[in-house]
Amino acid sequence: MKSRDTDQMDNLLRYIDAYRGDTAVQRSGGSDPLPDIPQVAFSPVLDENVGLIQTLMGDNFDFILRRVRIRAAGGRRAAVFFLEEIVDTVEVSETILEPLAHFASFEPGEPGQDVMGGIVESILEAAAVAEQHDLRGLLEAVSTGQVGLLVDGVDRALSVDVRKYVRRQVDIPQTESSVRGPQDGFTEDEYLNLALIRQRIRSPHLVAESLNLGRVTSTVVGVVYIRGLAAPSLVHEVKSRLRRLDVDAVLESGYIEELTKDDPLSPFPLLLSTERPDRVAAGVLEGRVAIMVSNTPFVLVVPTEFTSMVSSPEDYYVGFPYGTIIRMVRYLALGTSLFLPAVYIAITTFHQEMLPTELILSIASAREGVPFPSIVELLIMEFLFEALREAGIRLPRPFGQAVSIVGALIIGQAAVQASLVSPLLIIVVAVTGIASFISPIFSMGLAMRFLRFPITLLGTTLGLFGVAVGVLAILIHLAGLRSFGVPFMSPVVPANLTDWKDTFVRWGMWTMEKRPSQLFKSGRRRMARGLKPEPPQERFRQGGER
Amino acid sequence: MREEGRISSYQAMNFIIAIILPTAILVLPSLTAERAAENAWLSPVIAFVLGLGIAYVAASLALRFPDKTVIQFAPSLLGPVLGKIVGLVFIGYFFFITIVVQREFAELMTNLFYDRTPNIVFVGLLTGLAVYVVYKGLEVLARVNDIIILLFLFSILFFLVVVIKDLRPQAFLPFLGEGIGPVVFSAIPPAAWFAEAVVIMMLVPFLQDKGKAIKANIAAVTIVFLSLMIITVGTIGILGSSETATFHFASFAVVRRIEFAGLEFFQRQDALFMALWVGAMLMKLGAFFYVGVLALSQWFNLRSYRPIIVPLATFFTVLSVQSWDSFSEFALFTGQTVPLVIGSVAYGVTLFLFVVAMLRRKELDGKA
Repeated sequence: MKSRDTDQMDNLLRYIDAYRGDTAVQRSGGSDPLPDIPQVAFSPVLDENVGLIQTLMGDNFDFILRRVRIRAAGGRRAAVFFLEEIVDTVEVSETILEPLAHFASFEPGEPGQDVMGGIVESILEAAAVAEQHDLRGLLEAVSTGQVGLLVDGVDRALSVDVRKYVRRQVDIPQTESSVRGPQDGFTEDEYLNLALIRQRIRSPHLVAESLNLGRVTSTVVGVVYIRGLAAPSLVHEVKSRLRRLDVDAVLESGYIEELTKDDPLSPFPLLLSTERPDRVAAGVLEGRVAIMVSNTPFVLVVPTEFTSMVSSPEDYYVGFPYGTIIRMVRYLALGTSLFLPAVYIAITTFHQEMLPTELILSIASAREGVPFPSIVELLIMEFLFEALREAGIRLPRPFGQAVSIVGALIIGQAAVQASLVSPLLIIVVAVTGIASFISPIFSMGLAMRFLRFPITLLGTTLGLFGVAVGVLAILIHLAGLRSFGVPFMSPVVPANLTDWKDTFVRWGMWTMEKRPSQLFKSGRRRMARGLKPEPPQERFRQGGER
Repeated sequence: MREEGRISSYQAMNFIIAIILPTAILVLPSLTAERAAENAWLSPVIAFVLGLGIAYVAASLALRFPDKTVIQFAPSLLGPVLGKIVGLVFIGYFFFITIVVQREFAELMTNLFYDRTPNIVFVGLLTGLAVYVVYKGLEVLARVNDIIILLFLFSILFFLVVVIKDLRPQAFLPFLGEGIGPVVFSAIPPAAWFAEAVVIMMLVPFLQDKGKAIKANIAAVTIVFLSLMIITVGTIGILGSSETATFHFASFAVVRRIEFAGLEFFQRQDALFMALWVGAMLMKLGAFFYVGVLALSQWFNLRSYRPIIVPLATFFTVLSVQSWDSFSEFALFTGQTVPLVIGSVAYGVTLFLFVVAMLRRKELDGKA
């Protein structure tokens, strides 16, 4: 290599080192451990090893043990074992059993190479093979879907990776579908999920490290980032928070979310959880880190801000003014879902002077005969609405939608006719309910649903002043929130006016020249200047004079 | 835990605006109209000159000791005994205003909107929020403040736009009918209000760009002046000077009258302005309370100001409710006593410190 190349190489290696850190999970007397499998070495006698394996794993009804003779080693005996359903049995036959039984001889190998080496190098056709030196390693490998191979006369074992993933097909994301834009959503298979990202970011700088979290579950957790865009300190922070988790199980990304939040007591989501690969890809391209957890389609992206909770990737695909308009509608809806019931009750109870006379008369006449004060009406209807919503989730799909809508309408109508509630209140509850679905991020919608109740109570007891108190309390809380160190309300406050192009509005794509200020102090350019499209100087027409 | 937060000069400017503006636009029109009647609009102008002066003085004095608040640098300037006394005076100043603000807030709410609710409810709730924000620290206070002050200033612009066509020029005549005397006399309260900008002396150690401290302070005072002019002119122009003098809360009286032709819906929208004003008052209360708590903790050389937040807050809540028996007593107090007290502390003590700093400049520069 030329000297300039070697310099560049050194630079690159040093840079890669900046991101590296020990990815081993700490286990230091946290949760009570299960009885450890000892790290005993194997004996050279095959039958002894096989007996041990039989004892420890033979009770499983998907356990399969197959004895073979290795033709190439002169008929030496060996045993192959695995757990049937998490292994691709066709692969096992084709890449392990057949070669072992049929290959006539090893290739001429290294001098002093023993049987095992020969098997690995010449016979096994599977892609990933590892040596195991002790019992625990072998059993842990077999539990994750690898195939164990023991050979008579050898004190080591092999584990061959022919895993089969029981996977759902890639489908439209359940909670975040869109009209314009890709329709694929993550599934429970972390390899597939990584593939969905890699297909979008086809760069050697995209890195996906992995950890195994959970003492018993040993769940694969992937940490995905773009080397050079993500700050090394951020990557370290993410990895160290994950390594800290000494728990039995990590069943869903929600476990990780709750145990690594900056402020666990806040109702707001401080990590973005999404089913959409394009959203994760966009986040990673902005220098964020994605956390993928096996067995769940919800991937986490950190750090995140409030504005991410109200924006959707579709805003960027539909073109300039529409993205802005839709975003503003979303903000309005967010405010409505939080404040409408409170403001309604506050105004009709304390500040009737704010409404025109006809409206007051019609409200009063509608409320005639209703035995409850407004707040009780509201709580009844809200409770019904939430119950219907929850029930609608459990019902089988053909019924679910019909029951939700029809149920709401019919119950609402009947309630009005029985003079239990006033019609205006039904409208308020319905509008609030609809507005609460508007946040593209499920956890944010939950936060709104939750916060609505204290604010409504404040509005009922103290009118608009109460609502103001609620607003201020929420504002103060939000202003102090951080997501992995980044202030949650960036870039609104701390104010960075140039970044406002992408918060309340979505200004033209050609203006998004710089990466977000809260994540980058320097090196911010991501787009060349002057990309705003213009008509060309000449008109293009076929034929005519030269 | 010493305060580790840092704020930008833009946030400092907003901080000072929040320190002065919310109560200024509330009571100053009435106070100045009482004394100068139809010429009351001139008093903010005179006061502004004084205010600019003291803002400059306070900021440049604070910059001489860029990492110390006034509580910390007063002993360096005046010696241990006198310095501590001056510190105590400022602490009293901050807490005095805190209590007045609490009561002012409660009185407005109970007199204009919720007449059957006792004062303590409002003082308690607002103070509770102030405790929350002070507990979270300077940066959070500054961030919330940025949002609220922005909205508040917008609402003042809105006020201007709405009010401008209905101003009656005859409300401002005769011009100087009784000479300049009453006008100068009426400039005392606004001048005292502008002088609240000396709070910058508590903020300079936490500024990221200290060089801009003077600019920030001056800008803040200027924005307050313009807003105050808008409100004063608007109020006198709509209500007339004698009405303005009568209503303690003159600006709300004007807002109540805003109507939009054709949109019958929009009558009596003063509750909206009230909601915004609640936010602004919270910021003023939070700002003074923060500064006071920080000052007290520095005076006692405490490691952190957090433990004293709640006890002090409770104490002040009680004081604000108990110190005045009625609204009229309080209104009189606000009109007569408050401007003199806060004016003399802000102008007097700050100038005294400045003069001493000037005189000892050679000594101090030599040491530093």
